[in-house]
Amino acid sequence: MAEMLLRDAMSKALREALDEDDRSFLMGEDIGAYGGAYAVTRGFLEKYGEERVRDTPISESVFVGAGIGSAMIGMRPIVEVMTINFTLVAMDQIINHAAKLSYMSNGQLQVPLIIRTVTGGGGQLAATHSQSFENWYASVPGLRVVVPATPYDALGMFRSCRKDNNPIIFAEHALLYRVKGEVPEEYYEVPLGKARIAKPGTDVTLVAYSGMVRVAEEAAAKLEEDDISSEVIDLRCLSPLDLDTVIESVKKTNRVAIVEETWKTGGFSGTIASDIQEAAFDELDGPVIRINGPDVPAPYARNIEQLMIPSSDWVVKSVKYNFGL
Amino acid sequence: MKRSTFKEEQKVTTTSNIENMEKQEALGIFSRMLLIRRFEEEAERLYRKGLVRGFLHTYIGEEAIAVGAIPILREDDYVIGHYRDHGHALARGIDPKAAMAELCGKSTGCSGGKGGSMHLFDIEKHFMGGHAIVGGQLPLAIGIALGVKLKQLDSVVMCFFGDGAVNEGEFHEAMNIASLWKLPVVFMLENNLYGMGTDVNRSRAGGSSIYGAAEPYMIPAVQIDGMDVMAVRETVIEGVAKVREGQGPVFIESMAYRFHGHSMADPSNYRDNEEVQENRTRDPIDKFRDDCIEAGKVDGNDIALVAEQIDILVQEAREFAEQSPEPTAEDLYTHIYAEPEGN
Amino acid sequence: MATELKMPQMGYDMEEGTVVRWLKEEGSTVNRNEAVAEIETDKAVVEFESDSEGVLLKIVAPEGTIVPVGQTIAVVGNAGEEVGDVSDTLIEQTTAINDSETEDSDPADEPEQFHETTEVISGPSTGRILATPIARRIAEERRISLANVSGSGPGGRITKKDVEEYEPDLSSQSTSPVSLETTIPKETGNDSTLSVPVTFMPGEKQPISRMRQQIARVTVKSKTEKPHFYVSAEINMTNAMSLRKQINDQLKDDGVRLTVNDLIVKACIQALQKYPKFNAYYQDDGIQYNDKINIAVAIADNEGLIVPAILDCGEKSLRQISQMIKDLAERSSSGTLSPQEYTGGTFAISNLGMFDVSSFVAIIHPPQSAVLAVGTVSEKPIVIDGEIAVGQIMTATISADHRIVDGAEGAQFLIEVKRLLQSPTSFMV
Ligand SMILES: Cc1ncc(C[n+]2csc(CCOP(=O)(O)OP(=O)(O)O)c2C)c(N)n1
Ligand SMILES: [Mg+2]
Repeated sequence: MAEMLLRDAMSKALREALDEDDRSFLMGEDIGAYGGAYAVTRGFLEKYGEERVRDTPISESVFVGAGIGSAMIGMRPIVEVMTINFTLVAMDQIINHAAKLSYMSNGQLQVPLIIRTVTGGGGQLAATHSQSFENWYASVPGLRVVVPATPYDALGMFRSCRKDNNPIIFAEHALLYRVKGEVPEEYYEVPLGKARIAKPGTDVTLVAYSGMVRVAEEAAAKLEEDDISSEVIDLRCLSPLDLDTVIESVKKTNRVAIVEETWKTGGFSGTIASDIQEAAFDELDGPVIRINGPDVPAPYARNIEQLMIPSSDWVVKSVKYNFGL
Repeated sequence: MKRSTFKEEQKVTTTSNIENMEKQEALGIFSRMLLIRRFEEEAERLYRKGLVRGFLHTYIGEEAIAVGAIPILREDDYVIGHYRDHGHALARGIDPKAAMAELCGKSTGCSGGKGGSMHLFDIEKHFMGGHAIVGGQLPLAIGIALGVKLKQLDSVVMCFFGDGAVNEGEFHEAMNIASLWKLPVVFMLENNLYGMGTDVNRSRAGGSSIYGAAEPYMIPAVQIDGMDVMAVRETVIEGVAKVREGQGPVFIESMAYRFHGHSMADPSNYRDNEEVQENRTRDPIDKFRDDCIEAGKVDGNDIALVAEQIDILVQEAREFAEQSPEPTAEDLYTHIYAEPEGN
Repeated sequence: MATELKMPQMGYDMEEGTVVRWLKEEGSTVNRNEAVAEIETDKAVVEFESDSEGVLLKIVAPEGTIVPVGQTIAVVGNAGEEVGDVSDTLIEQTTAINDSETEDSDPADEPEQFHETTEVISGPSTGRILATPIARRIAEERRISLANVSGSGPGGRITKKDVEEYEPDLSSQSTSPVSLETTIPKETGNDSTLSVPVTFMPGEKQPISRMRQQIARVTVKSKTEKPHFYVSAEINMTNAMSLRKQINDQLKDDGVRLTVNDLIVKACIQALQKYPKFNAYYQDDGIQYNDKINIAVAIADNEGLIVPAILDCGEKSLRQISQMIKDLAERSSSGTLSPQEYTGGTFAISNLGMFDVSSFVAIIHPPQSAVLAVGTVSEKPIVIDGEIAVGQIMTATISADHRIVDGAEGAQFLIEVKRLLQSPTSFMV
């Protein structure tokens, strides 16, 4: 099996879309001549031309809206918003329009739109450029939210997204583009709404998604040194959410910690924690632990920026402390 | 390049203005531009070494705009702009030490190490920030101007933004309200022909010349050579005076070129090297220096002396930044909310 | 002085770069800001400019090498200048970088938030017993009073493991390690889920609950209709206790946890097979011998007493019986017993072993004909072959209906139970 960077897996996914479906086109800031802010679409403009690889003005609200409009009449656009921070400018289009049209039209309309965007912090880009909002979007009915953590899932889930008829926020973590992983030559898909057991274990369940899967896996390795066996679950998708896999795991381990990069208040970990205790209260051998970034805007300085992104050491400490292990 | 002034009949020739200028004033302009240049070159070096991190956008090639415009303002006027803000900040008189310390993420930085290169602030100096969401500063400028008006002051608000920002809805919304309410705003468009890697001709329906965008909002607009510091000065003096009179906003489009990449990560593949080299021959600092020498205002010695002083200033700034302490863990939690919280 | 050219940081997410091509050879002059090499990041190939001038003294990273950001790739200096040992400096650099990283992640600097994740209420001094939901559930199933379990979790919280590994301390409590016991603890503990609620005031008349009315009716009927007689015997449980311990130790991982009560039930089943009259009902028109053995066990809860039965256990192994009893207790507390289980008992056992009582007599539960009452297992001197030894002794008393059986039969039945319990290997395997 070939090893591939997540960046290259995404490029492959996008090339497939353009090669296989002439209703698909790419649209976004600096995806063409510049080659993509994260170099995912390098060489695309030359290969597919300006009609299908559309550099847009810096007009997020309009080009996201244009994606929605074209999807309303049967195109299958793939829009890139350079980072999730800038989706805020287009939030009205996303939430008031993309997410509502099917419902309000009583199913007469569909919006098969994929909004690719880059999420996460840790690159010292400071307060406005280091945020993660996939949790916000996950709370909006009518949207799907996909958060891959591996090259395999990025490609496999993107294929599933292309078949889905709903507006999708496909959030790629900036610091995962350089992550390598196996991607088979043969065609495969990864279904939406199915979590992945990244590592099986028996003593504690660590739930994570996107950039935090690596952190959870690192923590699991460290806990292993103390004979604490962790099961790491990569949610992969926040909406639809695969709670069953989480609950099954909790029934086995009786202990669970959720690791999430964004702020604790309003974090998606809160939703999951609440779901867990409702579904499996009598299985719990300790509180449901939420390990989130503290409620502070991202600072620029590296030494304090590090303090606001959950690390494997926090996870280890938190697990040991809260479960008395 | 199209050339116009707010009053069509008035023409400006830069050399004549240099002749009318005091030597000290000319050296002042030169040294400010050179300070910005050397400061940013040092910042780039520190970036490559990993001491400055995150995003670093340099103003190299565009110094004449900030230096031509900002020193015209009074202390009680306001400056606000985008993330390419080192030039604006230094022209407004922010201590290079505090600016460099900010770039290095130190607690002595002008934003306490929390803002970084893109978010320099010095409210005492009425430098209302670099803002990193494209177009985001425009509504803020409107609000500051509205505040000025409601307080019945005669301050003006100078708002910098790039050619890319013009395509955000906020730009148009801001222009409309500024004109409608006759707010004291100087819209300072820095047209460096690219928004990141996108040629302005590929992002603007009207092509690379943008000042016409002010027309539907009935805002007087002018396009000037932003690499000619004297032209900028001249136009800004006129424009600021107009705004201060209470006649509402003006719009100044300064044509320029950024010599380096959009940020440190940009390999500039979207433009060819010849284009860059050709524009570099129009270096605003070299041009002003040569014009001054030609006009007999300054000589090589003066220039060398200034350069030496600037180097010392920049080295001091670097040393200060390097030796300054990092923010502490407690700093992570300070100023999330106002202090004091209420009154 | 020679300066090192280092792999530049070009973009916030760059960690390493590849030297694609050297544009200058060793020995050639380089100017400041002159391109000397091409470097490839994972996004692009870019020219790398020297930030000092002089002669390119040494190329440290040949073409094709991947170099982490900040490491030396070449040295520039004056012609003829000695180049120091670059690999040394390399190492220094890397350690320096690592140092600063470890410094960054110094746990002392970490926000205290991981402590905050859950505020642990410290200790049971508040009068509340801290236990996790699953620990509570298991304790309830096993009829373990949480008041007796010490918690190993944060703040003394009782966890699943604590309950699972709980062994009552025989010396201090002198109660038998029976887990299926009535739930009235010796002292009214703090744990309200298991204690009898004190809901009356002195001098007050409390209305009689349904359950109490039922108990009153049944016991009066039994005592008036059934002529009870009683036979007692002391049973040496030493062998049974040690065998039980062995089995439990060996089969711990299989989840097996035999209780003394399990052994008594098993012994009774075998004795009943030999003396089926004790498993029969006395009816006016004849003695109804039951074809199944359904052993009823008395379970007390907050409101009173029920005597549900494990059904058809005649052919069951000890392990199965143990499981059936556990299951019965679980379902009786969750209220999911079947009507058959409530009323279908053919013989009953009442065990007050967890209270420090040596013996007692029980009332037969109609329509059954006998009930075995057992007290605590306690250490007593016994005589074996003329020698005095310490034995673990339990007193058992059979109450039987004289209309079906006589005293001698009662004695035979009880002696059979005794025999089985004293040489338990026979029914344990
Ligand atoms: C709302 C938003 N969209 C996209 C970006 C990413 N971005 C940062 S700078 C930039 C280009 C802006 O160009 P321009 O306004 O011309 O300013 P310049 O950098 O040329 O000074 C882009 C697209 C952003 N910061 N904010
Ligand atoms: Mg621009």
